[in-house]
Amino acid sequence: MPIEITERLVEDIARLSRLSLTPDEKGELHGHFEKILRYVESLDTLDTSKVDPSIFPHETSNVMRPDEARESLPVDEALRNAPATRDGFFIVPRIIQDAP
Amino acid sequence: MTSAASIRDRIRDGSVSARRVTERVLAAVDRVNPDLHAYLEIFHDSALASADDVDRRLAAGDDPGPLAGVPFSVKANITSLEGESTAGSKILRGYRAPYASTVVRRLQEAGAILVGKTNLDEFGMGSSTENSGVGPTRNPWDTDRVPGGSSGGAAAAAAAIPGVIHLGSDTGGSIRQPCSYCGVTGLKPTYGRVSRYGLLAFASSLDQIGPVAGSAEDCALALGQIAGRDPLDSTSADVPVPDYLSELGKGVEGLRLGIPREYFVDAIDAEVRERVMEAVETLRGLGVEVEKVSLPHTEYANPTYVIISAAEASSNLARYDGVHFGHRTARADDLVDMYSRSRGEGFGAEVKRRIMVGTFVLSSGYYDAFYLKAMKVRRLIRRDFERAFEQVDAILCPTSPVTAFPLGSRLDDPLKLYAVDILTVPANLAAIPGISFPCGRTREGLPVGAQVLGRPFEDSVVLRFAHAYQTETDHHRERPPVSADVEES
Repeated sequence: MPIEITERLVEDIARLSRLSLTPDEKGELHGHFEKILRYVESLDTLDTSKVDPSIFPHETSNVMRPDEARESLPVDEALRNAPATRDGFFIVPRIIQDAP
Repeated sequence: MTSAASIRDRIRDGSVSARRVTERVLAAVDRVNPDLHAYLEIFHDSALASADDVDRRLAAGDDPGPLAGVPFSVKANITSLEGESTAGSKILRGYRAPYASTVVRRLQEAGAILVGKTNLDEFGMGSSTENSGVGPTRNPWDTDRVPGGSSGGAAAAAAAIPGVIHLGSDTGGSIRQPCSYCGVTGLKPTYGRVSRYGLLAFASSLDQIGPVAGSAEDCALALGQIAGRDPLDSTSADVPVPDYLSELGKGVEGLRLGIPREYFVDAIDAEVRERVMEAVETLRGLGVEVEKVSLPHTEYANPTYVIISAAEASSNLARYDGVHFGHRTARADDLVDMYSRSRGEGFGAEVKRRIMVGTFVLSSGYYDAFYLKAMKVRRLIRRDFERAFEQVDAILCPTSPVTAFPLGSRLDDPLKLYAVDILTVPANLAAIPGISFPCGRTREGLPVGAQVLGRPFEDSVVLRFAHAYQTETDHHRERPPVSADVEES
């Protein structure tokens, strides 16, 4: 059953993807998105009801390491590439508004 | 002809200094790079300083390492302390990694000299290097054509200047396909063979770092240093690393080679098919037993790859949020708006497409029909290979259905570009090793690549096939019109 690709769906996916798109981009993506989904829908013709999903490239057991303190990246190094920092913290836009 | 192995030997026996080699390599890069745009950065000063260090240690009688003085480059999605690690993306413009990838650290500890970083499709997403955020690389055989991708910078550089080892990454063919288009040799190792620590993740269950060079021998030389368990990558395998160079000497006589019927379909260009079948005959002449095999789910591999790689990309690329590193928008109303604008401004069109597709196939209501379905088909594709490898030791097919195409000719429709990956993505889905090596050219003079796939952790077997072929033929020695020698004296 093919899924209908609406403008609304494209906008929803862009919002979930945290991508702001220009109107031109939205139009182009709509067309490309539809083509790609039609292409991957070809898997529908295959019966996989008795197949286990392949989740890991090699089926290995969990990999553990000793729980020991180790040196890690100094804070100033870790923050070196951040667009905005102060006193060892990342600065982000305000997320709590003033009370009215 | 110059090879990394011969450079290593000549530095070691004192017939040339590491400094002299490095100067010649840098001069050659400076000469060809304006035409090719293969390198994004060239490290003149640090490379010469490293070379002097090698020469000093040799003079003092110290062992400067098994690759002392051998020049190498890395794709710009692999971190190094030298230069920037941008993954070819505007969102990471100016990003200087605070740590070196394990592969770069291992090569440097072995005495190899980092000469620069190579161009790629943004985050490795593409098959032509046209999706680079800083402009395309050109094919040294015909600069109006693409070098393939996403490791197009590495492959173009390897074709133009012999003797340098390049590290690329391969998620769906990104090492092998550009090697095919540029007439050089490249190995996608078994998943887990090489640490991914410091590789800017695209699709973590498919990504693998591997060498691009002028010959299988040089690939073996590099793999021997970068392979092996790394505590910093829990998916790196604890499997012994053989001496790949001495493995090459075992030859291929008596090995069984499978030719998969499903890989020689109508979509394969006639000249590509001819050249690849000639390579089969050459190998048969070396005592290889050739058999037909079947990989019945081949046609489903590419849609499966599109789903799984996009899903993993949408998750991995969530880290580019304008907070921790990279581009932040100049104006934002609130936090979510800041994320969305920063990402909207920083990512290129193909990256946005894949994030969107990935977000969609993982979203509630569509997960089972797309992502879970693709993981099940991935199992079927792996089983195809497991069965085939009960019958044969390796599989041979073309690397790509076509040769290098003109710049811009496949950009209008993403499916046209995805179509060139159909023969390379199965190895990533099955986590098996694959090598591409040149097997002649078309009447137009464009290189054709043959691909050999092997059992998991039998990277040495695929290397042996390519090496045996290269001891018998000279296609890997052919040089493109845009090239420069690191001439020996």
